[in-house]
This record gives sequence, C-alpha cells and structure tokens, in this order.
Amino acid sequence: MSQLTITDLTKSFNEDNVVDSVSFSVEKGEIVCLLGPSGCGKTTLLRLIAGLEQFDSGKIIFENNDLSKTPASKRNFGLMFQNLSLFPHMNVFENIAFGLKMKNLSTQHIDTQVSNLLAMVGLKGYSKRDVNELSGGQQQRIALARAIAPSPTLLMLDEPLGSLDSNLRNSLQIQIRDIVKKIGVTSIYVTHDRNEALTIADKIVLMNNGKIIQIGTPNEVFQSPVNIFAAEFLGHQNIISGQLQSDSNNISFDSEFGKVILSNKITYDLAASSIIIDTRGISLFAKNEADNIESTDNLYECKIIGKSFKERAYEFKIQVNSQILIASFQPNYWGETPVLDIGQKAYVKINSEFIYGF
Amino acid sequence: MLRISLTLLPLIFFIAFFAYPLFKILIYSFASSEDIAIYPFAEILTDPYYLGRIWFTVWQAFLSMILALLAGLPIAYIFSKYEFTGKSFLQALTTVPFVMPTIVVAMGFITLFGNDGILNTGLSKFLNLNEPLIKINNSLTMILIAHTFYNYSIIVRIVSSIWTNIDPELERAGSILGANKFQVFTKITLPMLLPAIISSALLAFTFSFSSFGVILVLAGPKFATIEVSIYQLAVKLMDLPSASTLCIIQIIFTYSFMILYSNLQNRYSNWINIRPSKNTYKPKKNKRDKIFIILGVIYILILISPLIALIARTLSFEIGNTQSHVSELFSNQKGSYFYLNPIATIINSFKFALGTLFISIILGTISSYLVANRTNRAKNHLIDALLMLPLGVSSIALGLGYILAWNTPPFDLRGSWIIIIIAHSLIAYPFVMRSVLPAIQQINPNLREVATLLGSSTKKVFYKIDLPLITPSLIVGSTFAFAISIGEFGASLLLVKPEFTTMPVAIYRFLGLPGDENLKNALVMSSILMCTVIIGFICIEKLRYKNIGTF
Repeated sequence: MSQLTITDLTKSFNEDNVVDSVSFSVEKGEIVCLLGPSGCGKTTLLRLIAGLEQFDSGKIIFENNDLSKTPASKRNFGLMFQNLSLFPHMNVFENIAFGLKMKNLSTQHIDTQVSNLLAMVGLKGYSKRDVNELSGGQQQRIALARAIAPSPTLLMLDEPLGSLDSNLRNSLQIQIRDIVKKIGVTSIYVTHDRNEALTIADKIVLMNNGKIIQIGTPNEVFQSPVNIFAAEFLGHQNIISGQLQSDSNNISFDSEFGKVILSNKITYDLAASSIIIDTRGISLFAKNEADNIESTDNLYECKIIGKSFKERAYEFKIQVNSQILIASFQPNYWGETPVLDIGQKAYVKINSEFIYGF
Repeated sequence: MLRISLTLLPLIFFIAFFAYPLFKILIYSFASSEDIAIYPFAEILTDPYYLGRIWFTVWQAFLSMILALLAGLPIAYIFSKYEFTGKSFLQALTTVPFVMPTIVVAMGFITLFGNDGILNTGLSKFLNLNEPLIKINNSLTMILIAHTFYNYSIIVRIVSSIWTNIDPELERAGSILGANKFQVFTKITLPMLLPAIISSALLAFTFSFSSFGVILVLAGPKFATIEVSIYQLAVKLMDLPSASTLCIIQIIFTYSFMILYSNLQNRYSNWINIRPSKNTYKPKKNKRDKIFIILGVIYILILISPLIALIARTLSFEIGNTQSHVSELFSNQKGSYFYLNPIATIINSFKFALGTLFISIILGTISSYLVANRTNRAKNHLIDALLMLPLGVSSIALGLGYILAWNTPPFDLRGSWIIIIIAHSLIAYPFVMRSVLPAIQQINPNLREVATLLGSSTKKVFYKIDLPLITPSLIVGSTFAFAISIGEFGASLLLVKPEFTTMPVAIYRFLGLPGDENLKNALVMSSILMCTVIIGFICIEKLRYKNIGTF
C-alpha cells in the first residue's frame, strides 16, 4: 500500500479545471516531482495535498486516512516555498523552532533539535542571525531546516530554488536531495525546470493543463516521452512526425525528409507517428569529407542554416529538405573548430541507435 | 461566527455614525422648505451672502494653495537633492505643523503676529511706537499665513518623496542627449514631478477649503468660510435646515476634490521610475549650495516660529511670575460660571484620546482586513473607497449630523461622552487604515501557510505572524488616532457638554473670555497640547525611518 494515494482529484477556479481528475500514488521515502509548465496545476495540486485549498471532488488518502477532514495545521506536513518565506520578525533559531514550539516540546529538546538541523544544512552557528541578512541560498537552507524540524510525515517543496541563480540551484538541488534522502522523508517537489526534476526525483509526474501526462522514473520520462508535449517539455529538439513502415528485413520511418531506417535493437510501437532523434545521434560531414562515410544508410544532404555555441558544444541548425534538425559538434581540447559554417551544404548521418519512436 | 461579527462591527459603526447622520443632514436640508425639494439649495445659492461665503471659501483656498506651493517647493528641492547634517531632524520638523491641532496653530499665530503678540511688542519697544505695527488680527492675511504654515508640509512631503526617488540616470540621459540644464528640468524632471505637485496642491486646497479652527479663531465672523457659516447657523442661529443645506454643498465640493485627487493618484502612480534614494543624493558641493541649504534651514525655522513663539511666551510667564503659572493652572479654584477646571479638561482630553485610540485601532484593523482579504480587486477598491469616505466630511458636518441623528431617547447621545469618542474615532480610523492596510498587504501569504502547516491554528497564525508584523504600523496608526482626538476641535465644539470640555475647546473658550488670566490659561494649555502631540510624533518618526508606514 502506498503512503499517499490520490484518486480522481479535481479542483476548479471559475469553472476552469485547474486540477483535472488527477490520480497517482507516492511510496514511503520517495521523492516525487510534479513537473510541468507554469499554470499547469502542479502548485494547486500541491496546495490541495497540503490542505491549503479545498478540492471539489476526489480523494486524498494518506497512511490509510482520508485527509478531507484534517485541517492543514493538523496534517504534520512540511512545506517550503520558492519566495523567501522565512518569518522576517524572527531570527534563524526562532524560525526553525516555530514548528517545534507548536508541538509544545521542551526547550532543551528544541535547542538540540535546532542545532542538529543547522549542522545538517551546513549553517552551524547561525542560530542568532537575522534572517533578513542571509543570502538567498542560506535562507532557503533555513527554510528547509524549518520545514523538516517537526519531523513531518510528508515534505512538500514548491519550486524551492526558483528565485536562486543557476549555479546555486545546481548545488542546492544535490544538497536538498541528500538531506531528504538522509532523513528518509517522503517528498513532493514542484518544479517547472526539467533538469531540476531529473536531478532530484525518484519519480516524475509530468502535468499539463491540469492533467497528468506521464508518470515514470526520470530516465523513463526523458527517454520515452508519451507524446509530443512530453518530448518537447523534456527538451528534445528533433521531433519528427511521419509513419512507421515495417517489412521483413527492417523497420523504417517515412518522414518529410525521407526514409529513416530504425535499429532492430529497439522495440517500436507499430502505431508510432513521431520519432525523436537525439542530437548525439546526428553527425555532420563537410562535402569534401564524403570519403570518410562508411555506409550510405540514413545519409542525407543538408544545408547549414544556423550555428551557435551552447554550454560545451556547437549547435548547428540544419535543413534536410523541409525538415529542420539540430545537430551538435563537440570540439576537442586540441583546438578543433568546426569547418562548417552557415550557408554551406553538407552531409548529415543519423545513427539509428539514438532514435526513439512514440 | 466570530468572523461574521467582526466583519459587521465596522459596517454597523460606519452606517450608524457616518451614513445615517449624513442622510439626516440631507433630509434636514430639504426640510427647510415646504414647496419643492430643490428649493433650499436654490435659496442658498441665490442668497448673495452665502454666495459670497462660498466664493470667499474657494478664493482663500486657492490663494492658500498658491502660497503653500511657493513655500513648499524650495524646501522639497533641498530635501530631495542635498544630504546634510541634521536633515532628518529638519524633515521631522516639517511634519510638525501638519499634525498640530488647529487651535494650537491659531494660538501660535496670535502669540506671534497678534496685536499684543511677541512681534508687535518687540517692535513697539524697539521703535518706540504706541500702536502695533503689524495689524493683521482678523484679516485675510492672517488666514493665509496660517494656512501656508499648515499646507507647505504637505507639499514638501509629497513632492520630495517623488523627487528624491526620480532616477538620476534619466536626467543624465537627457543631458547626454543634448539638453541643457533648463531643458532637463522642464522636459524631464518637471513632467515627472507634476503629478505630485498637482496632487499635493489639491490636498492643500482641500484642507484650506474645509479649514475651521484657524478661521474661527484668527479671522472672526467677517471672514466666515462655508465651514464657519455652518457652525454659526447651527450654534448661534439655531437654523439647522440651512446649516444642513450648506453642509451638503460643502460635502459635494470636498468629494469632487477627493475624486479628482484619487484619479490623479491612480493615473500617475505607476510610471515614475523609482530608485532607492541613496543613489540620488547630491552631496553639497560649493559655496552656493551651502548658502542655499543654510537659507533653507532658516526658512524652515521661520515657518515653525509661531510654535516657538507659543512656547517662549508660555515660558516667559513662568520666568516672570513669582508663582509658576503651570502650578496656578492646576490649583486655581474660582467659583466663576465660566470657570473651566483645567485638570479636568486635560484628563477629559486624554480619556477621549485613549478611547479613540482603542476604537479606531479595532475598526481600522478590521476594516483593513476586510479590504486586504478579498481577491476581487474591483470590489476591493469599492470597499476601500467607501471606508475612506469619512476623510472627506468636515468635523463640523459630522457634529451636526450627530446632533440631528442621535437626539431621541433612548439614543439621545447629544452631550454624552461616548458621542465624542465616536466622532473622533470616525475621523481617526481612516488614518489607522492607511497605516495598517499596506502592512497587511505586504505580508507574504506564504508565511501564514507555512505557519499553518507547522501546526498553527488560524488564531495562532494571527498572533504569531500577522500581529508582530503589523505592530509598527499599528503604533503609527494609534499615534495618529491619539493626536487627532486630542487636537480635534470642530466636532468637539458642537458636541461637548461643559463637564466634558476638551483642551482645544477649553482654549477656544479661554480666548473668548476677557482678561490676562484667561489668555495665560489658553497659552499654557496650548503648550501642553503641543508637547503631547510632538512627543507622539517623535516616536512615529523613529519608526518611519525603519520604512514603515508612510503618509
């Protein structure tokens, strides 16, 4: 039996279903990410589970109890927000101790608990600090300590790193995951950032327009999107529509730029109408390099229409017939630079092991 | 259940002590004629005397507004553009007139400029004159100077708050694009300041328009404004219907100004590029700047000189007399009919002020939550505007309304102490609201949600989160409520029975009585009143610089 089971949960504002018959379950100790574009209903879903909003229909069962009768203050859930929501009129210690004091625990117990938590989030000795003078990253670590202080049975995080810059986000993502895993609290983490979700989650619940699109492990959701929305939202760039053809020898895919032979190592749904070609599976060759090409399978002529440098690779925008694809070129450290440039004609070869169909 | 009754409390108060009295005034204004309803208005509006009063009211308000601008803008410039030692003290000083009870200001002017005032006695001694040199007792000049004294601080406060925060990059951008200094001012700075200048001028106009105490005390019946005429009609002539008609005319005027003002505020509140003021100060550079600042300081000192005169005169009595006058004030036991017991008066005033503080804090806080808790913005604005309506009704109108509305047993509240506290609270609670509402709106709703999930009940969330966060604004609001009550003159004058006389009313009565003794009483009491208010506002200024609650 799952720790948290949500069944057919629906919530509407002004006759608009913000959460539309959503069902999923969370296992004990699991980190579940609610992922989706802004306005997809993920935050509302979180607030329904927290008890900050009332749902219209459906059921939330937590450890075999129906939560609809339990007020938010009695659920013993932890919550952490994106914007800096530390109590500005209390210092670090008072913020973290707030939930413990609400439980009427002894002063001594609170003292040890708070200093343990401060050590855990790496802010030992900060207990007398004014929260308004802390940096954004420190504030969020205090917010995490405050949320987990009363040992909640469920921790909810609503875009907790949304207001931080990207370097800090990356390091805090790992820290949050480590801490949450260490104390073993079941967590629901809301984010619109796919990389954050992929980094933190044990399980991703992908949402759009109030509905669940896909549920799966980060790898499943990333590698095997169920539809174009999922593919695009997880950052796939080469999504091509067409038709799957299968004959005795091999399976191929007919699309606007021609026939693509698919690998027989991968199982394809015969009804698939789209494929994703991972950028790692696309190689470019200049016209004069044609001799280096081993086979003419999945080889096409193309035109370079764009070139930019992103993160650690050049990204080429190429046109094959009317289809536009994105290819990348990773330079080595011996000063390699791409010979290709905008406007040139070239060859593109697609490696069939990097094609996923859906 | 508790929530509903809390919601109903301000609404009932509002209806019973604002809407209903106003409605009564309207009914009475029609009652003066038996023919057709509109007749009393036609009668007043064709009577050359009342037309003259209305015209004079507009005219003196206009002149006062112009003078306030002339006096206020240079100081606004100095405060916005220069940083110098003692600046925050001077800024606090410029607020003093704005919060000073009218009767105290009037007393200050009598002490300084009156025929027997400090200036005249000094000049007569110096020049060996038998007659006072400056004869502005009971003149338009006196009214205008007193209004300027009041209003320039509004101009300074509003204009400098915008001017300080205009992004200097914009002016620099203008000069890089080739504008000379004059062009930068007229094409860039002035257009951005204009809304602030116009709205502050409008406020100055409105205040002068409904000014009562200053005119009654300093100018006498010859210069009666609409407000003073209402008082005369109601109290001296007992012509309540005509007073009511005039009241309605006055209310129509002030509400038109208020609508104009809030439209201006809404239209211009968003497009000014605001920068934290630290970046915009220009350090004083050369000799010219220094002279400019020194002149500004002297100028401000001159503007508050009536208050200094008041204190000086009171102290000179103290030093000149063998027996301290303050102690005399507290020990005098005359049996005269007109005799007012000063101690009882002071105690009355403080009692009323504390009662007002209590009621207006409760009303103001609940009203603020009523506005802040709604998600519907249009409805919010409506409630907000509705609750602000008492700001536009003069205290005389309010007093008149109470006399008309609450005069039959068992609700005969005329002359009761409770009606005074109610009147003061109605005048004061919009100020509490103006202070508390922004503080409530600034509270991040996530804080309450986090506290809830950490195990706090709704009640605990209020006490642990909301209350500590709005406390500074509550203190600011209470100080305003206290100061408003203790200095309130118009409504008290209409409503108090002799045994409930308050300090402002007592000062007015003392002034009307012959003899040095009474003048001294008025002086001492004015000084006490003034010090009380100043002490309160020193506390506020301390809080203000923590960026809480700006007016």
